[in-house]
Amino acid sequence: MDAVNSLMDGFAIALTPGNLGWALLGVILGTFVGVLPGIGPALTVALLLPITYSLDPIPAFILFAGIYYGGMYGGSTTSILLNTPGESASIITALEGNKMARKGRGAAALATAAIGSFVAGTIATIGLTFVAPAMADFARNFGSPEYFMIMVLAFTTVSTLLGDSRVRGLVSLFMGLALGLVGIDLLTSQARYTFGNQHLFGGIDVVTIAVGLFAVGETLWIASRLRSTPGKVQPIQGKWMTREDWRRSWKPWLRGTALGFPIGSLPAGGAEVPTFLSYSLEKKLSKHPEEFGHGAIEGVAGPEAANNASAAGTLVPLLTLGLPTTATAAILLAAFQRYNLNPGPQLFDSSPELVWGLIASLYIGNLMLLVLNLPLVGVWVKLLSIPRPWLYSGILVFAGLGTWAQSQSVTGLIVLYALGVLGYMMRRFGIPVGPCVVGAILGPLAEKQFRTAMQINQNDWTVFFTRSLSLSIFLITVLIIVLPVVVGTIRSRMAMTRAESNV
Amino acid sequence: MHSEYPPTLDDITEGPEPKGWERWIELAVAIGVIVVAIVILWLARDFRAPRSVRVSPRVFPQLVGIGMLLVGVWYVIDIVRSPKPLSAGEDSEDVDITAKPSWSTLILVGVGLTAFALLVQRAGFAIAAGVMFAICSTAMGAKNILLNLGIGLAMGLAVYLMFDTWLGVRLPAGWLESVLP
Repeated sequence: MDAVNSLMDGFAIALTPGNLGWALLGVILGTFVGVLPGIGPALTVALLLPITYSLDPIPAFILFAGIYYGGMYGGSTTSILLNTPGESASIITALEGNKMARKGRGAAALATAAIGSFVAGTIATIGLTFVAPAMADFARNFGSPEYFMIMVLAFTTVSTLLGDSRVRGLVSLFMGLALGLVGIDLLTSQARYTFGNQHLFGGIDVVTIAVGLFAVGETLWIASRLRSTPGKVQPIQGKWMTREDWRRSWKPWLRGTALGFPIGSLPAGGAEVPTFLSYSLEKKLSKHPEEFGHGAIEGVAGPEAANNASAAGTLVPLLTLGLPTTATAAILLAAFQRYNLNPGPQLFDSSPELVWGLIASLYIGNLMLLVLNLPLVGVWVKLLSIPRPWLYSGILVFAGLGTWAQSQSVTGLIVLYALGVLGYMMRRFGIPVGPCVVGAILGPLAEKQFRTAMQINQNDWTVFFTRSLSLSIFLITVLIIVLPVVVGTIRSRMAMTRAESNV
Repeated sequence: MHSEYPPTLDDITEGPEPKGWERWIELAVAIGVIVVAIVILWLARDFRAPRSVRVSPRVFPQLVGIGMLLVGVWYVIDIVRSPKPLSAGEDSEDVDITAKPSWSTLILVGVGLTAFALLVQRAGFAIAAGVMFAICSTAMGAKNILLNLGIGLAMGLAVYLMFDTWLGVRLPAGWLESVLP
């Protein structure tokens, strides 16, 4: 087995004391920011991008992957003990888990979330181990037209499948694409949309975009409507897991994984869809559907597993196609770019130590997270009582740090603040932030593939539709746009006929 | 949360209905999208390419511009036509979505951010960060301004030492140049 051998080599790299240390640091940092409100893994990795200047790629990515996985674990703690979820993928956990915590079963909710995350994370990482090389092999058939089309597919799914308003998702995406246009055109070396400001020649940096939209935007949004009495943190009570809890949890864990990993691996991505699917599936299969909405353990076990499995799944398109489908994955792609590494099939050939060291570190990180989260959860909970004015002012200090480290100019700060105001407006009017970040990072790459494809084919745009692979991807994209509209129309027609026949 | 217990999925994403004037701002945002799209298309006219480059640097920005224009128009139509405003606003751990926005807090946070931008090169990162921290945290409700300033300066100094001295990220030392390593 090729993948097994490669993985063993990966473990040899990941298990060196130095790399174990980076993995531990990553999962601790990740849990830390996952528990803290207002700051998530995407922002944390963005703020740490400057260390890519002084750190080798392998430890850097082991650190980033630890933050990515850790953020998922930490997020569930917050949503169980504090009712309000930080991200859409945790809504369900907040729904059932917080109910459990109020009934004095907080410990069991935390345990099923953590063990479920471990089970799902490990199975999904095994999935990644075998699917990623196969996918990379398949991607060897891809030329520029296919890469361009699959980026268009990702743009479509990221902006229209997530969130509740498709037009707002698309607005966000195009804002990101527009931001990505700024800077010198590499092929003709002329400045585009820089308005003569030489600080903009290099483009608007990913760090500035992510920090502006996430950190500054979020802080302004929160400052404008800060909760006068912070949410009540539920005490951790009850037994960790009874025999009954185990019996009711293990199937949802596996089913959640089965939903999360494949959906996460698709170029559609996102943890939102599989968590919602898992919740409704568990509700349907449960012998106690009446408990749902009042603290059903299956409703925590399934969605949390789906959430973590999809996080591992997201790494499949990222590593094999260079295709980010979440904001955090987009920042990870930016980190690859810092090292002049291009994720894709070639990465498996040119840097096997990096790819397999990274995958091996995911197994290790998962184990570390289980230990960090179960016995030590009481330590993390203390973070929830940090006074909010200090927390958000501190986030602003780090935002200033990240941008200054990047741009070394006041222009950079002005761009940062402008993006912060944009982030505020987006939050106010329900425009999702994720598609904007993905668009800004993937946009320039899409242009590159587009122009290469056109250049090779004598400026003939039909090349995107005459190659069967490229055409298939295009048709899938069309299907994704058309299908929800058609289904929606049929549903409302049916509802109308039913309403009429009832009269 | 803000409604009956237990909350449903709808409750979580449901915010306040924007007042009349807020809908105008939302409409202004949508029109802003259209304006940006037109600017993108207008500026793209000037991009030139030598003969050797077959695909002009104009094409992709034009695609983005046209797409953005269409989405902007769709957005305007969506706002005008939707009977109930969709603009819920994003939920978060610390946001009371039903509260009135506090403009004074926002303005003071803006002052803090401006102070950082003005001070960072002259006074140095640590001092600028401390001043920003003090202004912003006081604005957000931490009452003891001297304590806030103290925490801010300590944090700015710690970040400076960790990133500049230890990780090699260049940050301005400013007024503390003679004191800092």
